[in-house]
Amino acid sequence: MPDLLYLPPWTRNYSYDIEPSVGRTSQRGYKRQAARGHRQVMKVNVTRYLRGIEMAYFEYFIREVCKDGTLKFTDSYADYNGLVTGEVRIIGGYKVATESLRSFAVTCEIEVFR
Amino acid sequence: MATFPDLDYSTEGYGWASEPEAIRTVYASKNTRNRYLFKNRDDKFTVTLKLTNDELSIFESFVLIDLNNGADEFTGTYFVGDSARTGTLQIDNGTYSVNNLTPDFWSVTYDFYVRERQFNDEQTIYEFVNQYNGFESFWDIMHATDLAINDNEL
Repeated sequence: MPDLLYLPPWTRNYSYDIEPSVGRTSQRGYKRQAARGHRQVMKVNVTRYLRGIEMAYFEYFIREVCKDGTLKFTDSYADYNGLVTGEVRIIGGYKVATESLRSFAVTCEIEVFR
Repeated sequence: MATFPDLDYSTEGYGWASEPEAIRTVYASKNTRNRYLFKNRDDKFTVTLKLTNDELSIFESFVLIDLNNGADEFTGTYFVGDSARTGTLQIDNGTYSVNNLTPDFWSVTYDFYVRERQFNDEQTIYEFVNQYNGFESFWDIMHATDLAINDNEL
């Protein structure tokens, strides 16, 4: 699995949602809710600040090594264990906002496989 | 193919986004799958121009006449960091927004696609950084090159 090395972690504007495998009836009246499995999807909104050539490194890794971010890769993420390393995958694409010509805020949503 | 007039982008609001051609499926079990459809290298850039009356006139006539009402591709510059690159660009749907800042000064915002954006420079940097185990070696070499070229210190 490709490994995103040498870059600062996703720890800016960091928040995540947990989507468990639970079904809830959508009809009117009595509602029933039941677990369908033990899996959860952890979707994390993240921002990463990159400088200079770090941006080029990140873009090549996501676009070419990870086939536009569709492949899983090893990266750091945060949870109750602190900053840990594990499998992640980008959901959709990423957005880059330039703060100056050599400073970038990269925002995206990632799925964490823990 | 038309060439973009001599107008500078503002760093304010400048950015870009990847638009991967992939389908993500989430099953009831919460297993997820990404299906890669095809390689898409048309990245969407967002730019703002700060223009005088004359410059706005040049821009609008360029879009209307040279770009066939915004539909056609043109040759222009885009920035990835402080590195200027030239490519084939196309204004998204040919649309742009104009905002009056002062009586004679305007901001123009629009999105354009860079057609078949190339990642050759990014590949060189990626392979170099991995080869030397991180960015520190790169900074050291750049610093040494700077001293050699600008201060003649070999």
